[in-house]
Amino acid sequence: MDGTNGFFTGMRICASGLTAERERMDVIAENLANARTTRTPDGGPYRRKIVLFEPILAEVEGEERTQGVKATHVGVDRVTDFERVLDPGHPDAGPDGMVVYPNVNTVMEMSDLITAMRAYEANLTAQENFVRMAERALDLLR
Amino acid sequence: MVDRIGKETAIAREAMRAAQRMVDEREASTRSIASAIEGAPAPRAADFEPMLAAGVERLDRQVNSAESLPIDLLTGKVDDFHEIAVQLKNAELSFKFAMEIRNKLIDAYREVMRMSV
Amino acid sequence: MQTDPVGLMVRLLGACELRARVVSANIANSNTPGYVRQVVRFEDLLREELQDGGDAKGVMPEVAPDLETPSRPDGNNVSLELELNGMRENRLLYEAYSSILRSHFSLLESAISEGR
Repeated sequence: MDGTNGFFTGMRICASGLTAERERMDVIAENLANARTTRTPDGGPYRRKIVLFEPILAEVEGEERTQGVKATHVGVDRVTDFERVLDPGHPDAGPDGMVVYPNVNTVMEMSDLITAMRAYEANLTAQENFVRMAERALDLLR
Repeated sequence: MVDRIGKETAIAREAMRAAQRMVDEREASTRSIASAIEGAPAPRAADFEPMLAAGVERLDRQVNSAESLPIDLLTGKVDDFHEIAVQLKNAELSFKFAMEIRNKLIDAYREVMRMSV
Repeated sequence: MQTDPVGLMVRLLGACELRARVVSANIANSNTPGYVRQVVRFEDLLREELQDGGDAKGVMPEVAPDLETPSRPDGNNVSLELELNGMRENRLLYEAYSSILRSHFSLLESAISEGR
């Protein structure tokens, strides 16, 4: 069932939000898991990953409307600096005795995770809302 | 004897008139219901046939449009649940209304037929 | 609500449903940089039109950006609490309008089967 039906369109908007926030949470989980990874297969410490969100736009009744959101791509944070710690005894220490740690700030990641979770739940509530409204409309036929 | 026949005929004529009045009253109240359902004034025909014909035609149209609704829902042509519900409800009420008219007509006919002439 | 109560209720229900979709789009984009929240106006447009003595038939729901609410540093001005609250209110409106329709139809039904 496609087309301009309001309820199904609405549920799809919420579904896109759920998907996007889920992808964000996955990326945050990966960042957190690798917060102290000083050596990756490509060499060098783990680089923080970020997800880019963009609204989904569509033309509805002659107007451009937002019909959801999508995580367009997962990129690498090249802006934030790595963390350098003096620790000559560390196996990954460089010739200057400095160990380079990932540019992951655990506190910030946790905060982003909470934001994503709240948004996820809000999308879920919104989706349920459409189901209830549809039930109310169908009640008219009883 | 002629006298009695004359009286009975008069009674019968009175009964017919009463039946017609009763049917007219029903017609008037159902006409207002029809306009409530349709949102448009019902035909003003003084006797039944044109009104019935128009009513049947209207009902037919509504039932037809209601019948295409499931398909329209599947193909996404129909807009929204509440619009479907209202269209279906209108068709249902029109149908009930037509049935009720039919029942009242039959009742009135039977009552007139019961009167001895 | 003079000539066509059912038609007006259907339009009000339609506006509620549009609003639900717009609020959902706001919620879905609550973390999108640069996104400006949208709102739906209908009931107040209707009221304005009726107060001016105009015809309610021409009034259509409007989707407009909320440029007044300040944005966060990333350019986004969506507040989840505000949207969820709006969603709850909107749903109550939907329930109210459909209840009115329901009682309208059951009134008609009683009128039709009256006298039995």
